[in-house]
Amino acid sequence: MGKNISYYKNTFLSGKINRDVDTIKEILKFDAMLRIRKTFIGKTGVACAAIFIDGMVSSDLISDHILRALVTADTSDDFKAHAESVAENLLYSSEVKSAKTVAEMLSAVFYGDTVLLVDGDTTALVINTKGWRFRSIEEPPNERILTGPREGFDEAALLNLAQIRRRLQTPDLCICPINLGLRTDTKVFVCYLGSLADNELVKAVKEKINAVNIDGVLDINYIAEEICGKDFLFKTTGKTERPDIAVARMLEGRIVIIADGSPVVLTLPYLFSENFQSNEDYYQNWILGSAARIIRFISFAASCFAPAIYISLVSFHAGFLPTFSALSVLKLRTGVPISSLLECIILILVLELLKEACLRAPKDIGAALSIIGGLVLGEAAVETRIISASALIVVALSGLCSAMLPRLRLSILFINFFTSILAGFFGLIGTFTGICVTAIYILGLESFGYDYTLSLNKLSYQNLKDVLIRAKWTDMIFRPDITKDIKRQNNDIKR
Amino acid sequence: MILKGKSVIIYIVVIMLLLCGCTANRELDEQSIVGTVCFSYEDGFIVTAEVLTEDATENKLVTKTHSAKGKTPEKAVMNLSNNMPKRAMFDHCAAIVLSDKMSKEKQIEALRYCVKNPTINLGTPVVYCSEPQSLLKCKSENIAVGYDIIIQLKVLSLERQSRLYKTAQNLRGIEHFENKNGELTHIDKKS
Repeated sequence: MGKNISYYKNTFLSGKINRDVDTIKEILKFDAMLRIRKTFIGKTGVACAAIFIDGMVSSDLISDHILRALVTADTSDDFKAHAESVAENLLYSSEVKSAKTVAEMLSAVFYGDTVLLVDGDTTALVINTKGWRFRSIEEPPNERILTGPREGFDEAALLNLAQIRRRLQTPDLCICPINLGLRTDTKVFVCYLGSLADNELVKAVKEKINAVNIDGVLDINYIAEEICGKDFLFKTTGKTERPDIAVARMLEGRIVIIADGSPVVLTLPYLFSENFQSNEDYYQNWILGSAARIIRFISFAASCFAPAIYISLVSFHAGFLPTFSALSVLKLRTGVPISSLLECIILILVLELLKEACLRAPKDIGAALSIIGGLVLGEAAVETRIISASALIVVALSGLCSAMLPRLRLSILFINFFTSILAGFFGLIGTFTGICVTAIYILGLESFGYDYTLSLNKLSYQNLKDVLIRAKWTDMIFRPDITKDIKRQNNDIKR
Repeated sequence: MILKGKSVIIYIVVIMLLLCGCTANRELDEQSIVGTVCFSYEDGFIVTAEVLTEDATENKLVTKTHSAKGKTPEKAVMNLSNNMPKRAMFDHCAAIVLSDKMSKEKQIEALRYCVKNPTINLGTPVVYCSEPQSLLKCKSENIAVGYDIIIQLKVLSLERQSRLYKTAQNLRGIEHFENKNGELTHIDKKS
């Protein structure tokens, strides 16, 4: 049974290099990537050993900054070779730390650093020699915009932090490291702006993350689900792959959590109105941004409730339809063997199947899938009277509207099913009950102690200026109520 | 705002829904849209409905006439629905035609039924005709004769006074239409 790093937190170095090297070899005896390079420090004759994992390190850095420096060291006769003096006088590396326990050494080695053991010293040196490969900075495929920055995060947490640091050139930026995962020892960083983030929130988040007791953390979603609690239909934590969004949220007092190995970062607290916000709203003219936002709200309503309203009208309340519309629907539905409820449910399922298939299928098959979806399923099914054209139009409209809100995709799917079933059994009363239940559910949610609908609490221009519309930057004087410092600009204006 | 006890609210809503929700589920294609309904009396109420259906061979909407008799308007309408291949739907009824040969009591009884029927719009115009069934044989430009009646009443600015909720009380304001050589003709009261 393997042991995790914390097992060795009370294991210390003996100071005798051969014994310490044997200890490391014994711990990692099944790791074929372990490398140990022994050498002597210049003319001193003191033995030292560089321990690293092949593939994680940059060989050039080890060769030039460590081994060459040690082997060719021209030291005086009274030079005493121990860890501190070697670090200060001989090594060329930019970052050198010390480690006393085997746990610290293992943690460093597994992250791409090189550990240097010096004979006669119980302190080891941890030298930054990270050289693992990482993806180049690309635009995230799920968060494309037309205007604005196109950088995205990648799997290396340090690089993600560098992207944030580049945008927040302030000493106020706090980055707190935490290691999570008993076997993965994943590096997680909690980032926030000290003068904006609520202290209680920061404390609560850190406590929750430290309380996570899990085998391994491979993605940020592991942390999200562990710390979120009730997070079923609507996400109460935000996720983004864009550094500009992460920074924008930090500037509003939110906390960003970055996990090594995941290009997605977590932002919290996360409010309902953020589902309808896009960073592109802020990079273009405020009128266009506002229009886009209003369209998103309408799309949400249409995508959630259009099939339910259609079912109610066709199955229960045909009198509400204009006569000639009713005649058109009657003509389209004649010969269809299934009820409108079943029609809509089947179409919603087929649409979801198509979406998933297009996402997962290789690119070459994508074109064929769209032909299957459009021609075969759509046109052929209507012509053979398996489904009616009116139901197809309504469900396709709903699907199109849900594509405008990718963050709410699953929520919309559930609400769609729920309200459609209620509509199919209870008509318009069922539809409105579904709407009410959805509204009650949303109003009852909270995200880390803050109301999920916090921005909708007060119906004032200042409160709604960044919710229903995107007001001009000159009007966005105040931040959301979750921050300590409310004023964003024009500090002499009182609220 | 955080709603406490929201689960209780949801339970109450669901229970209320189950107790009083709509249960009359009928698909649109399981019903026949009635464009015009006629009432006459001959040893019992005779209800004639002009129904809009789809002609499968010609692939277009056509009208068909169905009649039924009953002691009361309710029974006559029930018999009508039983006789028809699909259940009659009066939600889109454009006009109600009464036979002027019926006694006033019978006319009022027919109109009262229309008022009580929740599917018939209270704004539906009511007109007289000596032979209501003959009116349905008029040539129609708008599929059903009932729509032609509405258009003519609007042109004459008589639509408002002919509405069901006004005429049902005292039979006033009901205009007269006849079938003259296949044409729907409004008969002026003065003439």
